[in-house]
Amino acid sequence: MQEAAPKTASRRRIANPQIMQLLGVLVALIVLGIVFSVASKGRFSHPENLLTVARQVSITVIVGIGITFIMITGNIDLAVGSYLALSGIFLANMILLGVPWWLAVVMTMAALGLLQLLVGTVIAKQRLSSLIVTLAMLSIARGIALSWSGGKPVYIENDSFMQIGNGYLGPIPVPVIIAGCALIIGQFVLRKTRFGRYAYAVGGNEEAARSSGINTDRIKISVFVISGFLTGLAGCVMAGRLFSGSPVAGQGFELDVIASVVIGGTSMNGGLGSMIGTLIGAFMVGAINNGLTILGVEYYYQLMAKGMIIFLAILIDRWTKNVRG
Amino acid sequence: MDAIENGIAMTSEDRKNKSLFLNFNIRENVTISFLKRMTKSGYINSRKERSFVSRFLDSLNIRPKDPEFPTFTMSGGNQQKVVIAKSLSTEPEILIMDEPTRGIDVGAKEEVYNIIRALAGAGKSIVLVSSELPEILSLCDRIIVMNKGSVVGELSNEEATEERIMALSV
Repeated sequence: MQEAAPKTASRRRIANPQIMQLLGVLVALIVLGIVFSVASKGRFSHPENLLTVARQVSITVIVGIGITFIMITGNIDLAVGSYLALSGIFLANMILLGVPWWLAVVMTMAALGLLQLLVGTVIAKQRLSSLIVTLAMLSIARGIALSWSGGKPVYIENDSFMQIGNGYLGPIPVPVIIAGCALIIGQFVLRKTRFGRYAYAVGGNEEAARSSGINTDRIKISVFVISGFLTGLAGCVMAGRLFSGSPVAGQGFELDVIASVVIGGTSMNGGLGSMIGTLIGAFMVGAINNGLTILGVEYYYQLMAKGMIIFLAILIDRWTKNVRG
Repeated sequence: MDAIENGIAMTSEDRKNKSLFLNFNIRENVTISFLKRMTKSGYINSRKERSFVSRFLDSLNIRPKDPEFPTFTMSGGNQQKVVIAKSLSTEPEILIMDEPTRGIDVGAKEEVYNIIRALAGAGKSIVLVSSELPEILSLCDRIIVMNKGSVVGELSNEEATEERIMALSV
């Protein structure tokens, strides 16, 4: 009468592989930070630079929250870079039309939410692979951004709006505040609400989720809409930093976001993930981007490094998945 | 969904693929079908969740008795008990169990049989689908034999023997 279950109920639970991975990444991040600081003779850890990193990471985090939701349900979105550009163009044009900037921001978020509603519905109802559909959207959205703007940036001249991208609330840059709020809300929804639990269920075992009474289509569509809102917001923040809606913004951004999310422990197969992980992953990616740039490493090598990191992250993800069975 | 509302629940043969969330712990697995009961305007009440689960941990003798224990490391027998707890969470009157002891060691098998007997004793109707004759003979009041999708015979527990069932099924 052998029971295979270990008798750890009386002591602490067995080490959670997710937490172990996060701790590992955190340690790697600290080590990397030290290496970069030393190699750059202190330029990396200069407060001005760290603020820059924080601002860049904020945009990744805002989008990353939406992507985390999507990936937890077992889907993916490759088009976020293009959406970022599209958001900027949309926002800039709205402001040109005379719409007050705060309303334009809301409209941009709504527009992206609506777009993702369409995308999500197609993916869920037509039972299409999110990889393929969002791959198509990557080109479609970029094309729309380019054609609408005529290939040129659309400048925004509005001082109060500039605060979003470049302003501060006390010592903290506004983008960081926005990212922080989104992070807290995102983590709360994920862990403490029925919707969050259902998202994990759909990603963990879609069939079981359906037979447990969960409307899997609705959950899938919802996470895409959430991501749409967040990407729209991030696009506005970026436009604020660039003082314009740029049709070529965000190229390759999807790599950064997905790398952040996967490094942070979200499984590409769904069912696992956390917002905290995405935050740490985003810092990792941001630190690498910034550190390599400061050290003067050419862009080509940076791309290679990024690619290798994603590869590593996927390997670790696969290893963690084996543990999960 | 309709089945749940009408008081019917099912545990399927293929627990890993059909019923169990390997990415969830015991608590999350057991409460998933009935989360509405523990949620107020979307927010999950953890205390209600834990007390809900502890009932099942006790009555089904799930080991380890830790609601936070991850299911992917549990033995087949205990995993099956979690699946049973899941199906019981919606308080069904009718429970359909498809090969519930497949792939479970002897000790856990006996525990599952006791659970089934207890449920029946409590007035639940259980439809047991099984290809293990000893199991059927020890548990079932009424035995319906099927062959190629059609009913070919019905025996009461008193009348039934292994030979009779085998004879009917060919």
